[in-house]
Amino acid sequence: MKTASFLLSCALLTACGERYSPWESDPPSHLKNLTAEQLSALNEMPEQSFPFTVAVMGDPQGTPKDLQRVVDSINRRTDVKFILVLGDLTDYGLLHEYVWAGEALKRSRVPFLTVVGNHDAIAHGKQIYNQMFGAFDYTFDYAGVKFVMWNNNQFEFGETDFSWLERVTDSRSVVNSHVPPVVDVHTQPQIDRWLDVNRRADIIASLHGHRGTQIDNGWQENGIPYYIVPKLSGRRYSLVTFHEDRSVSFQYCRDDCGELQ
Amino acid sequence: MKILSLSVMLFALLFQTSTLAAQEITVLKRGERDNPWVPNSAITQHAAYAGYLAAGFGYEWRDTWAVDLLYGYTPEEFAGEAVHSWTLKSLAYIGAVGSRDVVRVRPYVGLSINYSPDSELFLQVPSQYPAGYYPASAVRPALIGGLEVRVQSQLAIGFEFAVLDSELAYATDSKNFDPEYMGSSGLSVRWLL
Repeated sequence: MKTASFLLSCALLTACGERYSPWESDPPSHLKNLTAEQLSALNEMPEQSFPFTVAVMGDPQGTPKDLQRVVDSINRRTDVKFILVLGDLTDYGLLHEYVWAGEALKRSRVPFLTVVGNHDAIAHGKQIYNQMFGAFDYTFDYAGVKFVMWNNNQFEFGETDFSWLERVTDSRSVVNSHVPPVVDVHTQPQIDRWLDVNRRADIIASLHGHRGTQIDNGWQENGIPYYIVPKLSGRRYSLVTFHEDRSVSFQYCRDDCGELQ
Repeated sequence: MKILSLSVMLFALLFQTSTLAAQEITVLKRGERDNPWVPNSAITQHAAYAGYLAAGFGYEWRDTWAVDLLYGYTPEEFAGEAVHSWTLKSLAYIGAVGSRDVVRVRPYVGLSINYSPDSELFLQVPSQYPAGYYPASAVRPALIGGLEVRVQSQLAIGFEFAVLDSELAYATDSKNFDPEYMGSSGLSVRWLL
């Protein structure tokens, strides 16, 4: 009996994960440098032409299985070229949450690109994000459209760098950031400056997360579509289609996108 | 190094348990010391979110309830950066298999509070955030459960599993328990003082 209990306990010990601290910050090697890995896969994709459709999702924190289900759902589609995740992959910036998100996203058969969210930067989240994905600000091209991935989490990273946005945006740009241009994290003068940068660059569209359950999802400003993707909880995401004439169409999806609204 | 350390601990356990069959053990009854401030056990622990190696002391009352305080350290090579932490546990023993005079197996459940005094973590949200914007990032509660195996009169081995509050989202969302993606097992040695 004693020996059996001991052996059972040892078996349980080795069967279960062994983690030392909630604040570990070293991602597993297969989940490092994902942005570079995914961009490499994107660049190898043939036939980058209009129109093309991108799956956009935001705020998957706290619902790791829903994220997995959404990725599986997107995998069943043939029209999605890549996935944009608009921040808040985690609630508390903890490694295990990053691993959940990374493992779910790695199921995708199309490339996925992320921006950092405010929750991702809590605790040691900045360091984990940096190792797991890469740079906080970057751009990439697809079919001649420049996707600007912008970190504008002002509380966590300091005052938002609008000059970077100004430098990189042009009339081929789609700006993606976690925080949308509404008065919340940013002040009204900052919002005014941001909208002015977008207007002068004549960007194609502006896509965001962060407030997907609080305000209307889409609006136009100076002829530019602004869109806040719904929070992923409940397996919600969006399809955004880019056309050659610079027009953009949005679809709201739930589960396998059978119920487009 | 990880495998070596685990091997050493398991070897120590095997050595301890190999002596069990031949001896009758008198278990020191804890909780009856004159001075209630003197702890009645010294503890070392590996993993289960207390640190790569943690050490501390514990109090036990009437064989049913214990409070442990551990300081834990996880070196950079295992955590990305060195983590110092404190873990306060409240344990409730839910019965025992075996008698006081021989080896006993005691299952327990409890709650722990993990705290790390790291400059990047906070107890109160820093001034750049609106009040209440985030909960404390320096503290993580956990549910714990385990088995304590008394192997000698003054020595007990504990096998523990801890699940952080932040990990419960995985069970809630997936409607099942997956130890690959949530929780941590750990091993402790308790010396009765």
